[in-house]
Amino acid sequence: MPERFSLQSVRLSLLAIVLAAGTIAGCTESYDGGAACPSLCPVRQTAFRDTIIEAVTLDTAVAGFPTLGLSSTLLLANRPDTVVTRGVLRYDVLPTAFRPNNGADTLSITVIDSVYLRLALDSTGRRGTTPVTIQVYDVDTTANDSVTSVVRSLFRADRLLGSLTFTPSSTRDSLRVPLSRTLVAAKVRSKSRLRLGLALTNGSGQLRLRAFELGSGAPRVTFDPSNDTTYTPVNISTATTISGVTDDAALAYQAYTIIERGSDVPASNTLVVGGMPAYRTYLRFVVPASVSDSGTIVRAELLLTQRPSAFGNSADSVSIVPLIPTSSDAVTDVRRILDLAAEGAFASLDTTRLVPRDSGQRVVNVLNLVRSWRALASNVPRALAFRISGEGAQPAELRFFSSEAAVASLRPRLRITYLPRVEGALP
Amino acid sequence: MSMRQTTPAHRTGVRVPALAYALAAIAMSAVAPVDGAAQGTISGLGFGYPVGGVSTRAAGTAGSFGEFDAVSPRNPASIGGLGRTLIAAQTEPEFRTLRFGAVKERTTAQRVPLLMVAFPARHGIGVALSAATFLDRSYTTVTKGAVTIGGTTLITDDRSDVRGSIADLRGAVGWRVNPRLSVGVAGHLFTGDNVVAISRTFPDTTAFGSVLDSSRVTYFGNGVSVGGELLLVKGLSASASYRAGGGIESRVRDSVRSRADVPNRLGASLRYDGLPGSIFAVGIERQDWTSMQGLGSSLVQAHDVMNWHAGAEVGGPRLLGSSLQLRVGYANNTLPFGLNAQTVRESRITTGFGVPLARDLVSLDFSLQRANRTLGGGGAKESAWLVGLGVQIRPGGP
Repeated sequence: MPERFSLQSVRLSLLAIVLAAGTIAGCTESYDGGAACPSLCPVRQTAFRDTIIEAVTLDTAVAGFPTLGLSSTLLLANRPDTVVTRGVLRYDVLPTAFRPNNGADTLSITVIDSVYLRLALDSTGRRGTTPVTIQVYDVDTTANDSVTSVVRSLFRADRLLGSLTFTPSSTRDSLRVPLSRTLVAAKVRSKSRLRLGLALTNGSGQLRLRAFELGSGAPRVTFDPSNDTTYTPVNISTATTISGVTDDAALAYQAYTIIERGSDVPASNTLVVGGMPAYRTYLRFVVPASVSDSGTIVRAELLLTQRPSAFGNSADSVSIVPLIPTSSDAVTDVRRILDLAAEGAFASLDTTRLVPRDSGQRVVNVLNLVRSWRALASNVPRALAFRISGEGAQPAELRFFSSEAAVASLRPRLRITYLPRVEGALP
Repeated sequence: MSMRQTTPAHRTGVRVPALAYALAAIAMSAVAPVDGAAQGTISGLGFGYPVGGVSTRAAGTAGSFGEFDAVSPRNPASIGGLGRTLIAAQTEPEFRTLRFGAVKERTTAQRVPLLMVAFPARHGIGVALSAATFLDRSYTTVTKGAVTIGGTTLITDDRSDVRGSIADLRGAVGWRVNPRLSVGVAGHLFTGDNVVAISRTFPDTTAFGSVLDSSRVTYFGNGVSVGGELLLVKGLSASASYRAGGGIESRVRDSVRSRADVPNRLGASLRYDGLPGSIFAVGIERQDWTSMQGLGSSLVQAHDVMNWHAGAEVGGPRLLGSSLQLRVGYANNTLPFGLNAQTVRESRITTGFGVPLARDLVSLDFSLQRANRTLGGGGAKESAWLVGLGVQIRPGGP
């Protein structure tokens, strides 16, 4: 190494560089100030802008929710003044043999005893302080029983399998309805199917039944497969065997509801959320670019004008649950759009509790949704939908004026507060 | 002792090492706007604080050596007769305290105000590329605000983060015509940006979303400077330089928002090194900052300023086999941007030292400056410590 680049020289040079670098890196910036503002902070004030816009370009209510068989609960109601429903449970696969006490042996079922229909209850849905009777009918038929009128005709006295009188308010987590041992045994022996129709009679009241638990049907038929009472009872879950249909369709008909009296069909100037059959409401918006693209939205509220509803539990508050339609404009069928919609919780949209019989302007916070629209692809409609909590087993509905309301102030609108974009970089 | 302390071993015809080019490129990119003074202070109003762009050595003399110092990109004549390739970098953090009524607020700014590479060519010609912080605008304000929405007044937590600066990228050529006279010319590009991030948070975050907004403005301008240095009599030299500011424009997303001119600058100094081991200098400068007025909004209040400075460097004790150079200085400045028609005055008392290391392969310079700033009309005062550390590397040593 030449003399001028001696080891000592290089070491000292490195030391100097390290020292300099250490000084640079060691000094931490701390700019936080502002205590002397506004005296020393000349700024251009920009005011928030508050605007209410009729941004709805499409709104509609679609009935038939949830999809048949996808409700985890069923409403069994006999409230003749407002809502009456019946239930259908299918046990298309009946056992013909059993293993005594789960042992190794398998024995044919020749006699049965102690036949019950065990109904798991959602205690939050019971209603009624006077006795009512639940009646269980044999609704099996060779006719096309996917037709409601066919099934409805089978709720008659000669098909009665069992009944139980009880007071809804006194029920606990389940109800055991005794069934005719003779008739059920005949079904087992003949390897036929058991299809049960449920109806409440002789009084006003309602029950909310659990339709599915842990992936299988919750209403169960139980019986002793022998006269030997020491044997473990047989439990049968709902199941259906419809040839030529998809699993979803088969699932749909395991346990479902027939509505005898339900919600009134809404007029075109009305949006409905909930009811029997349950409706969902879909709203599509167009927000002016001057609002959505040129500023920061700090508040966004959907203003809905509620109309009073007398249906069902009209005095009890219920929640409307926001849904976020996520499909592109390639999907035009609103029903399909709603089926594909995501839960509003994914966009931090909260539920809103309302009382069905009330009326007046209602405010739904849609801030996070509206703020997210800027990031959406242009072919994804900016939309929002609502369903009711406990959909399909909730005897309540909320009604709102639609965009076809005669008075403009009654129509759905967006109230948006935003701060216009500030080019504050130039002093 | 010569003012060209950076080139004690005078050599000519040395080719520029490739490393120097690489370092220069890195330096140019590294000095992009990253730091600055704070608004909510009185030094960072308008387009920011004029950092000065002098070397740590010149900073130790309150800038009075700026016209003569080859590492200070002011007078291009100062690089005439450069003897060795030179790579210089420095850091200069600033620790500020603002006093305004009952308010006492401390902030810290980190700066890399100057990077330079210079190399000698033939016949007494020196070439230099440098990047210096021209104006430094970085601050954060954290305040409480109030807005009325729907008839309700809401208190908000507001925060503004402003970062950025304008850099002076200079390419200069200096020529030592003869032992008594040097001249030089330089071209300047003024470029940089300011990025502003504004946040406003409401107490009820479920009903009101936070405001997060950002914007960026970029600057691009130019200028030309000329300078000369003349030995008047033995031991006494005079130096002067003039920068003619060209146009400068601001752009937001490729759209020109405003146009103005880079301020003209005239500087002049006298140096006396007739006493062995000592250098004394005094100088003045004038900058026409009002030419930038149109670049910003009506909130910017620019002023033309006249600054003066004086300083000295004397030989001190030996350290690591080399003699320390001790420095002191004093400057009286007016800052370019004021408030409410008032100007900000600044006085600086400075000191520092320099020490050559590794047989003059490297030298270290240290400066300590105490700045006191006052906003006209009373009320706001600001004091600051500026700590400078500069490193010069001179490959191809003696």
